[in-house]
Amino acid sequence: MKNKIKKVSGYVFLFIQSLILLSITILLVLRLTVLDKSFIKNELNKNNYYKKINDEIKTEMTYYTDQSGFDDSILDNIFSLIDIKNTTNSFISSIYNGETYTVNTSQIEEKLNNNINKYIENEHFQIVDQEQLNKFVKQIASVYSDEIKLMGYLDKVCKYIPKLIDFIDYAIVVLFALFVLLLILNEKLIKRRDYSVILYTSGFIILFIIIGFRSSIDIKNLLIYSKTISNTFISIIKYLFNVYLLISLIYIGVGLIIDILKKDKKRRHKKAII
Amino acid sequence: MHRLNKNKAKAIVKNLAVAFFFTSFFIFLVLIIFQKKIDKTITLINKVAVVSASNDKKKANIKMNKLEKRLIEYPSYGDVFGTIKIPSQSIEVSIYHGDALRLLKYGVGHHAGTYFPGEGGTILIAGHNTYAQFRNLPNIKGNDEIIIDAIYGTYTYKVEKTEIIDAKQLNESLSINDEKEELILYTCYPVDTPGFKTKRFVVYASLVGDNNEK
Amino acid sequence: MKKLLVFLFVAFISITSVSAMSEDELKTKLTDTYKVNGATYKASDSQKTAIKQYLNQYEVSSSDADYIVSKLNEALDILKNSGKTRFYDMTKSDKNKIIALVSDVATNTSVKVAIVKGNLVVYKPGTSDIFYETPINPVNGDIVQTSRGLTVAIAGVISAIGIAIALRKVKVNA
Repeated sequence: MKNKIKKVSGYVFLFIQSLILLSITILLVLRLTVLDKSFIKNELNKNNYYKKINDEIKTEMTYYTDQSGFDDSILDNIFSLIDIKNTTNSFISSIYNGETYTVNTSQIEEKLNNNINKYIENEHFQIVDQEQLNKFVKQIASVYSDEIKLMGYLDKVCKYIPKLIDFIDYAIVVLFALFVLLLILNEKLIKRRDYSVILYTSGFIILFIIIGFRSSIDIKNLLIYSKTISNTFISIIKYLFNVYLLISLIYIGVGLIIDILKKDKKRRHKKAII
Repeated sequence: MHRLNKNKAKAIVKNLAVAFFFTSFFIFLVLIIFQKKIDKTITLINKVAVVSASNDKKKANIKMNKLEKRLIEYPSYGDVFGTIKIPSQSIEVSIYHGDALRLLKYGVGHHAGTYFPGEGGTILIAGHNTYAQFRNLPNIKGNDEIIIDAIYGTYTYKVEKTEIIDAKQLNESLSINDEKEELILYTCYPVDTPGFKTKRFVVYASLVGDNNEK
Repeated sequence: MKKLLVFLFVAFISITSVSAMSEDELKTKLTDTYKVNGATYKASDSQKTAIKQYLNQYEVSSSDADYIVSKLNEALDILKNSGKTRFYDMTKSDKNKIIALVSDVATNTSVKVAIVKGNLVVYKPGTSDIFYETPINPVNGDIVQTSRGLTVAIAGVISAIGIAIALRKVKVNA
């Protein structure tokens, strides 16, 4: 009876340790990727995000010049790709710091005003309403700001991101400590040393989650906010899948290696007798 | 050696089987507890965040049901469904279904949620005050003809009145109804000063003739 | 012949079902004006027309009509009991109820929607063709489709429900 209880406890320990290892894996990968602003900035770079947003902003602005009586030429050189990159990166940093970001559009407004004044002079407009011009400039500036900040949709959630990061950091440490504790307890009390089972289980569950996710959601056709954002998002998801897949295969592989290298109990006992 | 390998293989298979059992048990537990939530979340994601691009654009059967005075099928938002002509002002431009700014760049836009020509209700069409669109609209006079040549029929309207109102007033005072067929065109005003326009030049026209035998 | 069968089927359902609702009754319910907690809620004129246009085009069974109306009544009850007139002023519990209601409707209907750059986009079923598009936030100077706050949620739910159920079946014209 005692042996049976020990055997069952051993399996329960293995199961719990598998789940802990699974949790540590999932959280650690998220922490080092999605919850790391450097990773996000790299992904934006990789997906040519800044150039695409640059083009989108220019296109959106022309929708307003169409109805304003101006030529698209008034938008020339009011912002550059470097401006877009710096502003976007500052915005991302603010999100990860839990702060609401305000895009500074004063330079854009100044350049636009200069272009407008030149255009009005060249085109010899008879009647100029300064209030109309001011509103137009504000409208163009808000297009720039809205496109960078994704219309402010992230403003409400940004304050939770540092808290989430802290929570995950603590959770990883606690889970790791728990894992080690259970290992020690196992060694001392139960002596169930099938550690490969922990690796196999974690690997299989991760594989199942990836397969389940991929088969239920048509990831390549995700549309979130805009095509540009969606493409970056899809790229990140695919990267995560690949990382998790690799980890699951490593776990299974290492588990196999452990099992292969494990000395046979009966043979060791026979050697001891001899 | 052979016996050793056989034992080892057995041990590996046994461990894999245990791991497989643990995995199945975990998945079973998760599904028991969270099945509904998981299904709902996946359905919502697929509904709201997944748009599968269809390779073949289905050709809409846009025809007028003369008896019930409504279209059998409606054009997709963003599709061109006709041309608007105002001969007295040399205006001839494509009409898009929808008045999003991205469409108004290329033609005039039929406001989604208003009636289509021939349906007997309020039709609202917006256009920029560029020369390619409604630049000359403010020169229109009473009784001038407006012809909408839709893919399902041709409809002729005569201008009843025009007015200049605030953009906000257009939102508040405009009534979309099916009491009578009224064509309302509007563009930003004034047309010859640059910048953000807060006023709209609005044209109201009534149906005088239709030929919907296309 | 098909039209006759559909008419007979609908008539049969109307006779046998206690709470069966006709398409016209449904149109009225979805485009009606509701006064709750001193505020007035209604779909905008263009939303009402869009709902009517698509209920004209697509067939709605009595059970679908009853489902729509029950969800609409539920939404109004939550609103009434909250004592608020704006979504943002509601308690967390009431907000969650509204969100659960909308997601319930979304999962039980065939509507295909997306939010693209501040626009609610409704797709034609089985295609990526857009059926209806409306800005969620009003833009200064453009026609306002919806106003802010709970009116957006309620009108949006009304529209989504109406359009969603309307898209379940395509009417086959003889």
